[in-house]
Amino acid sequence: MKNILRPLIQGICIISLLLSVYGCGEQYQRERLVWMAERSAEPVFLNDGKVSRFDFEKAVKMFEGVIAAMPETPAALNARFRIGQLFIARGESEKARDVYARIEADAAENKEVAATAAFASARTFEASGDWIEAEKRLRGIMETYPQTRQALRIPIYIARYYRKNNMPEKAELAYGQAVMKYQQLADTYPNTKGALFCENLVVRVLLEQEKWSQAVEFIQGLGEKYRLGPDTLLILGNIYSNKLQDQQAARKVFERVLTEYPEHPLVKKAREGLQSLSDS
Amino acid sequence: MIEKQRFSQFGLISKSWSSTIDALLTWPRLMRPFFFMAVFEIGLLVLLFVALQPPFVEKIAPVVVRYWGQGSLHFPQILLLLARLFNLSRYAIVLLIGAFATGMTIAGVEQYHNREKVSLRRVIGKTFRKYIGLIIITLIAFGAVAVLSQAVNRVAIKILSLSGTSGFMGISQEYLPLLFIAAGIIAAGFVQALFVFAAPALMIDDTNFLKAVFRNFKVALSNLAAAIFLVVLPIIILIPIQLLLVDPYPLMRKSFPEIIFVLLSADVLVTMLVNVFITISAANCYIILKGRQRK
Repeated sequence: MKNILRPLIQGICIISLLLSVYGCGEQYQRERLVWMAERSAEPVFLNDGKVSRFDFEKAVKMFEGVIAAMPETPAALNARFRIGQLFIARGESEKARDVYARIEADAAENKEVAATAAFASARTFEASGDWIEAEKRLRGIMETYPQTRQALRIPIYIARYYRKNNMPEKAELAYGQAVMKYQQLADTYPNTKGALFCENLVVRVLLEQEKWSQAVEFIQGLGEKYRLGPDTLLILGNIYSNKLQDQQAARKVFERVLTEYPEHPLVKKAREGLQSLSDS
Repeated sequence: MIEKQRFSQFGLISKSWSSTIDALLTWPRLMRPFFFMAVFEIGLLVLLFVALQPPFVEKIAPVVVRYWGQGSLHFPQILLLLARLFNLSRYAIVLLIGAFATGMTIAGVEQYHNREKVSLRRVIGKTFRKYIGLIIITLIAFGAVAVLSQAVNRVAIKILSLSGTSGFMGISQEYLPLLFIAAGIIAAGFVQALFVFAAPALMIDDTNFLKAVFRNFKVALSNLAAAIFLVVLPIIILIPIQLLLVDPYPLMRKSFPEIIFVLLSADVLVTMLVNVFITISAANCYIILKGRQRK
């Protein structure tokens, strides 16, 4: 029996070892490297950076390994951001800012990435309790990278900060400024993707302010300009159904999702909406 | 009378097992059919892994994405997909190669008992003649186990939904699914025990599969304790590895992702040993019972 079992076990061990060491394709190796790096970072994030120096440095080195193994790739860029986050979790904001500053400098040609790095850097001030400096830097991003999506999200981000920290007047003012800015941009660049993005942000602001009637009015206005997507229609249907108690209007909107987008995955949500209307 | 019956069943089991160990020690070649099946399974595992890598994956990606989603093609989900695909393809291997390996092993045991000069050509020839019957018997046993598994699943789901967060009969809800899986494996063993003498009857009595199944029931029901012990006891060895394979992801996270290869390979190895032991001991038991009948 030994004669048979030994080569089988040896064969299995060799195959397992070969597969575990070499994997197969390059893609497998790369994805494995990223996964291992994320795994090593988990304890740092879960314990707010309160891990041994060894574990922390191991996590940083793992991400540096990702950057070295696949430079100039989205995975490498993400790894650089993750190193910044590791320093933030560890409470080493200065080092995090250095990381983000280098990303920003290297991404001169990719304004979106540069704006994201600058945004992450500004947030380190917020995390350390210096909102004044954070807001100053956030507003600076809006001026330096005005055309980026990251910069467009900043007005709403500022408003949310005030709302979250129980400063309703300042929040209201910030929301108002955000809507004005988005509408101004949408009017300046009509019928562009940027305009659509800004108009979606307006809807989001109105929903966050719980201005339901204004939100409905705004979405209906959008409907005159564009063909509304299933996600926007669902928002509209839910406002009618849950906030304005207009069951008939809600039913019409949900049915519109079913007829206009019968193959879309959100059809399920529309059916659920109709079902809840029938139940009530 | 009952005591005597118990003793005779116990005697039958111990005699079958001692003959099995004896046969394996004196003629380890009896393991070869299942050994080759195990080698084939490991080969299939490697092949599936290679098939899930570029450039081959491009050919199968549409099917994989349709049934398991795009995420399953990326690390580490790709390893979980590999385990799923491997388990699915093992059904085909058990049916097509396992049935043949069972026939060959039984034919070998018969020759061993008759103290004939063992001829591989005769063993293969006889198995080949009975191949369709062996496949049908395997399919019937599969079907019975599948029906039972469905029933166990339904009961398990019912109990899990009724137990809430507090658990069931003092058992924490966390462990209930594992308990049901273990119970399912043992229950499957009980069903398999009802068919354990079908292949030996087909091969040793040189009859057709219908008569073999009929004789199997006759023998299995009149020696139910022996049939159950011969199948269920070796199957218990499979439970730990099967429980680990239910959700290997936590183990992959704690150790290293490729531990799935070790788990699947270990499953193949243990299953091979269990198959060898059950097949030879069932064949031995059938031959012993036939000998008693003659006396």
